[in-house]
Amino acid sequence: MKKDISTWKLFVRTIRVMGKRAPLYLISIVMMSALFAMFGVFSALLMKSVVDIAPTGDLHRLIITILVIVVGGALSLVFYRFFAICYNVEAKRVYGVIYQKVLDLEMKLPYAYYEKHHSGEIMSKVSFDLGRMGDIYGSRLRRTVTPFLQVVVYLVPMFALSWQLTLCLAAVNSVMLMVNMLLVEPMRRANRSLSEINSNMTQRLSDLLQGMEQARMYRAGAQTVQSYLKENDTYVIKSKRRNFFSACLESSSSGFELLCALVFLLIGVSFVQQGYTTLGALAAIYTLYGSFNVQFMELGKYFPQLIAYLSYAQNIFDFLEEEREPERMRELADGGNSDKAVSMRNIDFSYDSADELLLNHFCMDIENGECVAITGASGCGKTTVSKLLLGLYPIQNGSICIAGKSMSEVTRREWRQRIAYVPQEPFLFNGSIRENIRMGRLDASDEEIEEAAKLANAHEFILTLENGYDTAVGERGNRLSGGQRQRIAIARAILKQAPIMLLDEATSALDNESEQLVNDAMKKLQRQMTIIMIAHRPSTIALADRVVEM
Amino acid sequence: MKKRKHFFLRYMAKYSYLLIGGLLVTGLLSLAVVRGTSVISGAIDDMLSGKEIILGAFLPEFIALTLAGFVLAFLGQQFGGLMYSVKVIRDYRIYVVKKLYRIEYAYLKKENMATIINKINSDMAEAESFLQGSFPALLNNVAALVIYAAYVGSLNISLLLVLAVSYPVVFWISSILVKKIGALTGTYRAISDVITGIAQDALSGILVLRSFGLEDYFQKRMQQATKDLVDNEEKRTSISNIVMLVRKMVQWLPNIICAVYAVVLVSRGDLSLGGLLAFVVMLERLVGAFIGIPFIFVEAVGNIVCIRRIEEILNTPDEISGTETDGKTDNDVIISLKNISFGYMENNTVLDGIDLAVRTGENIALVGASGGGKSTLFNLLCAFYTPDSGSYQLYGREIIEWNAQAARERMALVSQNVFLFPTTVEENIAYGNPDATHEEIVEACKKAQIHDFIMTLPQGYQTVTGERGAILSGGQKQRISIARAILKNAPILLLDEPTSAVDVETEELIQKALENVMKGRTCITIAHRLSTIQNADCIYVMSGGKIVEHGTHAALLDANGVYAKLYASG
Repeated sequence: MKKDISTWKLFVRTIRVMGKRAPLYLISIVMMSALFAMFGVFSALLMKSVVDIAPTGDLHRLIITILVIVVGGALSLVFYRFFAICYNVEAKRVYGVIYQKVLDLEMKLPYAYYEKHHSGEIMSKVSFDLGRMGDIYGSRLRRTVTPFLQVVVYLVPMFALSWQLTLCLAAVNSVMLMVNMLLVEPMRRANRSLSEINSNMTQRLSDLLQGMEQARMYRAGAQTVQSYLKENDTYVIKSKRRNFFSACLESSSSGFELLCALVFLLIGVSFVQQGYTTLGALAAIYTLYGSFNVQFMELGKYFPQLIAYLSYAQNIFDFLEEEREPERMRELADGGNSDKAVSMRNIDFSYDSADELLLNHFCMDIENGECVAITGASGCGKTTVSKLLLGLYPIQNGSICIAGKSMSEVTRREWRQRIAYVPQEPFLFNGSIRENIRMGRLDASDEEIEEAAKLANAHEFILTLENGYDTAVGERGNRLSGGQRQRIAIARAILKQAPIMLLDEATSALDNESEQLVNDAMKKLQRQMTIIMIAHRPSTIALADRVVEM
Repeated sequence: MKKRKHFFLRYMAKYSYLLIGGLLVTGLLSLAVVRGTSVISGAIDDMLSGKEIILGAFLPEFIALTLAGFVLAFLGQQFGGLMYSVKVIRDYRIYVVKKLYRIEYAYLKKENMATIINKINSDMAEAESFLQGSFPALLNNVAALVIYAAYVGSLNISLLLVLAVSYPVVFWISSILVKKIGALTGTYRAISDVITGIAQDALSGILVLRSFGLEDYFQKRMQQATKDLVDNEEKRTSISNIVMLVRKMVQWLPNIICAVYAVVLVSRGDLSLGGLLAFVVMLERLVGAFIGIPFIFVEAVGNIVCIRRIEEILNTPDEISGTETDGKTDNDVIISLKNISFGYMENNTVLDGIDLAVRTGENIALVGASGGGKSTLFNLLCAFYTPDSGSYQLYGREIIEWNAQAARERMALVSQNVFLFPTTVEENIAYGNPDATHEEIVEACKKAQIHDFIMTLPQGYQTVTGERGAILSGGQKQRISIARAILKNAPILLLDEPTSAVDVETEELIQKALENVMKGRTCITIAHRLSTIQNADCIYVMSGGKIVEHGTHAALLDANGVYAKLYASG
């Protein structure tokens, strides 16, 4: 059975994520189960002593027995608590570890991935699938292992009392387990498709929220709502499918319970009448079997759920196998001129290798300390040049060098350290202004931050804000105006102290006054570093020492 | 304060027939189990008293009970929990999304998007598991409890009394402890919001993150957040385990009392040994159901915390929208603002006593430094926000009397942040008018000077734009937004910074597109290039939330005030 092996492998993989902590976690589960079973045994003993002592009417003996049992039960609970804390903490810890891995990948995918995939799709993996995977560690696994261990614990005395009867009962229970196993695969498939639909719904929702202004201005906005509702309907249909299977599970659990009682009665009565077993043993088995059955039903219920949840883990593992952006660029043509700040030679590039080349033998040299403006009609590849300079896409041919070092000589992160980038959309992270500027260089002091803000002509407006540098910028910086965001983005880039500053249409979305402030800031920086501006506003282009027309 | 409404309850009530049906079925199931137990205990008693057992006597009944068990359990689960939950959640989801569509704009600006998505995604999953799991389980346990208790009562009524007195005490103690956990679940959710927020932030800002090499920084923030999660879990588990420890021990108390009492009853001959066995079995079931209740209760409390967070969205006011869909014009003033004041937050005035009148066919321009209130004014004109004081009349009718949708039907907005939905170019443009034919769309695109560009795309009008319109430049997006506006064919045009995000060549295209869209419409423009608005009928100069000057280009230059200075510097 190939499928079982893969499920098992998936399970092993899920556990191995925990690394060295796996034994502690697994021991905690076993100990929790054992101690809990022990508590159950004490409970059963309590009842057994009641039944045993009842005909004698010896209350004194009864009370002593009860006291002993109570102390035993309390002790097992105290130990249980210790392992329960270990278990829960480890479960959350591994959840954190996986979250970190997913985040790590989320940040390091090849850039093209972000442009191809909807962020809602990625976020759904992160918040939905990962949450379910976390549930495996947090509850699902224990819910399966605990009844399994307890079933074993109960089986031993039952066999000792009457192996024939126990065997028959176990057979009925096995049939039930097989029925449940049959439901595992359809449940798993149903869950997978539910998670897909959930991801679609997240995308539609995120579209609606991001495009709310448009959605409200146009009557067609209702369409966005409709497309969410359509996914919702699909979700309902798939839910119904899954529900049918879970109802089957429930039915087999309850039905088999009664069936077992029937089998017990039939066999028990005939065994006693034929003298195979005593009535006392029958009573004891009956009590034990009650507890056994409860646990067995739990197992029948939670085992398929665990398998279903493993499919969420599968989604996460699949995601984690996505290719990362390679650390280094592969070697192409030989290096450029070492006394140039930037040297781009014979670059061929297109976003899709099947497409026509967007850049064909593109060459550009920039001197140290020069301020160059790159301009040209839209779609001619200006922004592409900046993306290539940042090493976001692999070039098909040619070479890019900064200060004589080609891209393949250093890691991408070292490469990017030399470029301070100001994007067209000045994205700010959720947090304070200070935090956002500090992202330019994490070890910068507050004074350096203010210095950078002054250079970027941002200091003054920051001080007029209610909390100054500690003002929260809101999601994507939406509490600030475009010009304010842009100047903070420039301050962030200045703070980086990179030899090259790259501005991608940094002033294009600004009003005159903000553009003026930004241009003033750029003037202050000229000669201190190499500046590459992708621009088309005449006032911005006027700043440049040289204009490259594309 | 306005009373909170409970929307979830409303939907729960709507489909309660399913729930009740499911409960009845589950009740029948419990009866079947009870009946089965009593058959067995009767048989044991018979054996003890030395009677011959005739299997045939109770076999048919028992087989019938078993078959009923299969069917009832299936039906109970299918209707009581699953169908019920699917229907309620479907309706609730629809309601929530529709609510988001008409919720007051301020809420969307105030809340983090990740929080909203998380609320709807994972809290909705919790609501689902409330309906599928904890809620029906709670009801079923109570129903089972009643039936089992009745059976114990039929064995011996004083035994039931002892049970009835000793258990509620335990229940009371448990419920106090349960409350504490509910509070801690809240913090767990808050921490998990922080974690999702970090992941969302990293994703949205990937370009900046990557170019600044912030991977480690974000990883560190995530480590801190997950550490908080673990710490919180440690605290939560140690509390909840003490709860469990105390509860388990306390639970034994009634067991012991009942057991001792049962022994006394047997020794007095008031209870048969078979009866005792049946009692022992029933006690286990009964206690199981009883113990389950606080457990499920904890789960339900956790679920309800999440449902409450969704209810929070639903209890946020809608944007103000009246019922009127038509103006009452007795003159040609389309828009009239009188003494409008507004601030996004209290004690923060963004607009301060704005007066403005726009007549049919006029071309109005707003100029001034950023932060002067121009964009805010647009937000008010589009009825995204309502003024704190003053009067805004659209076609002679107060804006709050207007149906917001109808009012917006009269306006086309070309804003600076154009959002393209991840669908085809054609669908994105058809957004302006869902009834438009393909020919009309092409016509609008030609007027917006974007048709030629669209034809160069690999699949032309059927090309899918990326999530943030990744394959289109700012200028192209702007022209698509102009095409939308042309297609919408509204009498009023609101233009926000139309000539800013483009190169010279594109600027000409956009200028041409704008001329086309402005033709025959009343226009209000937020302008930065003073060169483009010299023909405006009236220019309003805004500063510090006030209109400091207004008049034609020539008049303002003559006045030699703020505008003249702006003009000189630009």
